[in-house]
Amino acid sequence: MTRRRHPVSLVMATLLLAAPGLASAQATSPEAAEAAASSVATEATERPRGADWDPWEPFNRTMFDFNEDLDQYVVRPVAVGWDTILPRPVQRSVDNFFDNLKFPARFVNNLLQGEIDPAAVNLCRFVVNTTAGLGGFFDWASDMGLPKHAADFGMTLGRWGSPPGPYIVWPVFGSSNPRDTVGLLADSYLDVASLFGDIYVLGAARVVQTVNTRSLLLDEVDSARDASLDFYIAVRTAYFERRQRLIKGLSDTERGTDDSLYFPDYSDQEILP
Amino acid sequence: MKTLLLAATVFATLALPPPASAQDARGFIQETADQVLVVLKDASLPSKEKVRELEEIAYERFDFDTMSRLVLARNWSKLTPEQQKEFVQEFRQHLSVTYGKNIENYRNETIEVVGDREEARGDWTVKTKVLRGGDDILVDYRLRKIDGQWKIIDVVIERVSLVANFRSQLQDVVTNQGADAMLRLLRDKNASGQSILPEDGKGHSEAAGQAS
Repeated sequence: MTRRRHPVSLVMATLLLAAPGLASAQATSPEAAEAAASSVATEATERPRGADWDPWEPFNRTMFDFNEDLDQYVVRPVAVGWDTILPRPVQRSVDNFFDNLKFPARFVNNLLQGEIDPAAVNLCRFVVNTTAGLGGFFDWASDMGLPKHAADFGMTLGRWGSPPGPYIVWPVFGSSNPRDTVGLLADSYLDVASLFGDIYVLGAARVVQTVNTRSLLLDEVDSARDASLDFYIAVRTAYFERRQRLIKGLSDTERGTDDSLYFPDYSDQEILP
Repeated sequence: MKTLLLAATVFATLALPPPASAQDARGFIQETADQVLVVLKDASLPSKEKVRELEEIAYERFDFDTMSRLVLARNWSKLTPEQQKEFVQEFRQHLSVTYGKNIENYRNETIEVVGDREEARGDWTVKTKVLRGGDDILVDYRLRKIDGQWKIIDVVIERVSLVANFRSQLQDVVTNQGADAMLRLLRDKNASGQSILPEDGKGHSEAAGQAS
């Protein structure tokens, strides 16, 4: 696992550098990031916000189909079995356990994003859940009013002004883009799991984690698949939008700026015959 | 006694809470959530009846016409009035069929209104949380006042907007294959989905639900 990272990250770095607009987007404010992202988007497409910037669509669709098959024939059946054997609360505990281990990456990225309070909350969560929560299996911190504050290096890069770049689907790992791929690789260095155990233990842990996560999402994925007309595009849009909104981090009172979404321009009417 | 009552009334008026529209936008969502939960929790109702009652609530509280326009955006004007009408019908049907199936997955989740904010041109967003004992789900409702009534015009689940998602899927089909093909796709999808409505719960969710 560790050994394989380096060549992959080299490829990633090349891809990221190849993404147009990155060099010009060194500004640090979220507004600049947004402007950079949208200017990249306008280059590639007329549609708003670049959700459909997908020059590698044929490759991506192939990978997407591969992942779907992998899910349908391997991961989902195992997850269904897992879900039948283990009660929900146990699955949630397993989920809590793995999630608690992601604390270092979250904490570091909170700090890199300049979010001191969320960093402090995440730190308290880690302390509480690791001790009182018996190694992270119980999320007492949430019950105490200490909610988790998500942060990863892809988000950090976004806040620093890096545009996402085009959509990529990786085999096994799924939806991403050059920015988030770099983020994923960077965060993997802060994965405490890699400090312990040999490769077999780690591999087994990874399998358990994947199956458990999937088992918690059985209904959700089924219904999302069901509700879509083109699941590939549904996932692509959802991924882009979710990442954008996470990076923008709208606070509770801040007004959204989705004017093109909620007040669309119908003006094509005049142009059309 | 009378003066006391008067004083109480005056005090109540003075102590009037935040802007009226914020209050009733939140109230509107709270009321909707309460109605939905009553139906979902009613063990005596058969699934089909539940779906019917939920549809009734949805038809009253969502504005499918506005949603359809938002979903199609500039493509809306490429449709003939008949096609537009059919689209609204089919889109509504699609949502009803696909989300109707989800009632089987109900596991005593509750809904809490957690915030709201004013949006451009008088729209309002009401933020809710679906509480399910671990990893709560964020669901935001976009509201617009239409004919003096709040209507839901979008649902944003975990930062993913339903309108935006359908827009991108349909845009692709309309651009590449035309409006007719898009309507046909939607019609076929609805026709194939309709009969799938399960009579009883799926094995795996039942097992997990009982064990907890």
